[in-house]
Amino acid sequence: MVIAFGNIKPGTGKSTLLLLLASYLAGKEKKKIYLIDMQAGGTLGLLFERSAILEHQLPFEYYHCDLSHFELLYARLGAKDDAYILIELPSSMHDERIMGVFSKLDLLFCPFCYDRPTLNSTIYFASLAKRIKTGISLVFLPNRIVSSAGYEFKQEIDALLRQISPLSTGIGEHIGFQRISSLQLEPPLIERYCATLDLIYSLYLTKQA
Amino acid sequence: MTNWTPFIYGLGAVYLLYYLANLAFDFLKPGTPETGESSLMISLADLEEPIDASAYSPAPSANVNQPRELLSSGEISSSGGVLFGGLMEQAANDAIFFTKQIPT
Repeated sequence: MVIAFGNIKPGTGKSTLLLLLASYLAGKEKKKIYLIDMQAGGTLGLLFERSAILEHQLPFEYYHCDLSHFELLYARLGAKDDAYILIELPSSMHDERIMGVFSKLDLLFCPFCYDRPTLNSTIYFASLAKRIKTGISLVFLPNRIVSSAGYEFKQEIDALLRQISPLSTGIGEHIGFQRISSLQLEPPLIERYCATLDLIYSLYLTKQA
Repeated sequence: MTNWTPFIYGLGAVYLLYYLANLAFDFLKPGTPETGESSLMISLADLEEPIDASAYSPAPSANVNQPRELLSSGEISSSGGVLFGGLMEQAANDAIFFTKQIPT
């Protein structure tokens, strides 16, 4: 199964949520998990460097790859039925080779926050994804939700996003995300989001398979 | 002074001799490949094996229910006649349509 995280707005939590999902899936299933980082100089790359120095035994394999090498890497990884391929899409979508990546996707997560600039970028990204691959299963994933805060026009925005694609349950803000320093996540952080991830898993991941 | 007529005759004779010598050289040259054995003749008709026409379904209407499979040209890797720039423009228009609905 090929799952991607993408948004043209940097800083929406693509890398963090991808890492969280990868760590969760590693504990949940025995399938092989591959992380493909297509973001040049992105967070995952930096975290991987640190993990390499600390010689972490990671439950997944990490690859960095640009658009020109994606087809080769994908063909090499091959077996997609018994493996999860998690891709972090590049923020820049101005390259038509991105269409090759989209054609491989089974599920696309689009993390976003409720501020206006991020919403604009998110809606543009979703529109582009829908134009590139009609009928793509895209899921909006609200990130950094502060449970005690009120969000202006949240209802309207949620209704609007649901016109485009399904809207997942939100990922709450937690200080643990800011303490991530390598690809190895602290078990308490995964446990904390276990319920949310279970829901996402049962709603979107098992339905596809 | 030569006239034109003997000159033309002379020239014709020289050409005739030249071509005769050329032909004689070709025929008398030792080791000329014998036609028939060494040259390979390929007949395209011999390569094509006869096919069993009954193997083909005489009724293509059996698959009419799934025309998509029949017409499939493989995995989609292009935008279907729309340039990528055009695709982005369409996406931008879609985005404007949706973002307009966000209350301010």
